[in-house]
Amino acid sequence: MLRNRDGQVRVLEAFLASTLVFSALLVTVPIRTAVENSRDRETLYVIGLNMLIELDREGELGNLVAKNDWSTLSKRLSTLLPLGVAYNLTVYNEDMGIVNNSPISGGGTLVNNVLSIQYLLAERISCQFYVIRLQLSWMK
Amino acid sequence: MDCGLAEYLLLDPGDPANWGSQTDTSLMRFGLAKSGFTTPFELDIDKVARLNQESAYHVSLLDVFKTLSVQDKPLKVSIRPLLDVTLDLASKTDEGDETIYRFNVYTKKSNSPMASSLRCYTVLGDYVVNTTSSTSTLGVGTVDVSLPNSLNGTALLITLAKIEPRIVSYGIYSFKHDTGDEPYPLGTFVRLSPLNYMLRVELQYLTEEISSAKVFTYNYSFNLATVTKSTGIEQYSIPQLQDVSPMVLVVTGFNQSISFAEWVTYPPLPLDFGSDFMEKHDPMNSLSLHFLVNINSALYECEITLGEQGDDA
Repeated sequence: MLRNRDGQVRVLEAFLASTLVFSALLVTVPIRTAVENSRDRETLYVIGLNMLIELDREGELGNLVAKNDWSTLSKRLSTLLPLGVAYNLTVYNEDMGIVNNSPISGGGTLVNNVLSIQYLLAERISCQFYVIRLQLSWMK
Repeated sequence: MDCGLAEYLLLDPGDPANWGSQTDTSLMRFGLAKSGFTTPFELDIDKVARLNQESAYHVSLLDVFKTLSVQDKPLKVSIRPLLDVTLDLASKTDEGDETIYRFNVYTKKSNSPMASSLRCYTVLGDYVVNTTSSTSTLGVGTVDVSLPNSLNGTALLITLAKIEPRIVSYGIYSFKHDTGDEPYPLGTFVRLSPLNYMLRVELQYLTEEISSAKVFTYNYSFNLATVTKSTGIEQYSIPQLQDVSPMVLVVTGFNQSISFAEWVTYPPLPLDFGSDFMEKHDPMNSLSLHFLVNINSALYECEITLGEQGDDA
């Protein structure tokens, strides 16, 4: 009888131990995922902002916007962004009206965890200001 | 924090601010930005040149880690052209007084084919022939080169590929014209170290003689002027060209009866500097950040990989 009770205690111990292990896993997985998501977003932000700075370096971004040359702008973005990054770019004027009359997107479909970057663009010839909104996401 | 460190390396000129071209002063703080840059992510050609471990002027990894105070944090800096250019010899036809070589050219970015404009130079001793071509949207093109059969030796086909406005890359194919031997590996006859618009040429054999030193960019090619000559070391001046292009520096010569053609690019790309993540550190515990960077107005890709502190897996 005493042996049986010992056995019950062991089973209870094993149950508690496995509960502890599984609950630890349940808690740590979301934390790990959250850290990875935050790193992914940070990386995307660096990539997007760096690319906009490069496009704007010699006024090319402003020239393409002023000429409404959306296909060339889309080609440039596809060339400069790393493989596996989907993008959508929208150009707004000073009144926040959308300027581009066709979509500027590529690299696949924007899925969840989309990061948005706002960039103030000064077009150098006519001194017009635009707001560029670049949305990026990793293709999963 | 990691993104901050990576950006810092590309936005800070370091100390002294011109440590790239000043080889007689010790590095106090590491940073790759050009001193007095006007827009972010503009790198100094000489700071990048000193990361090349094949150069006579290279900085050591230990010195860099010491100045960053991150001795036990794995770090790697890789800089490469945005475009991969590969060349292969498709055919060779002897036409009596000349031989026609046909090369296939492939241009890709991250394995995706890209169309580009091509400028090709074929160098055989002092003889240079210049051709243009292009690759299609499938990233494939051809280049025909004819070389006179009155000449022989090691020839180089230098191909510079450009996507407007600022993406320029290169591919180089070494081949023997009218001689039996296969081309020797790079560095067999000379060690080439460009810095501060000077090319240092270290001869590997006392029996060698340099016949020419040249620079090739997308739009220009020039002979380099000799600045100094001493036993085993020669210095040539590199012109400061305003061309959006890497510079390909070629030295041709003879070691007794063997002809050679050796080259280096300025900036020396592609290059990898830093910790070996595949061998010594766990790549799973690392963060890779991709940047577009400018060196002399041409656009390149820079990847900075940072590992976990104390990761010696």
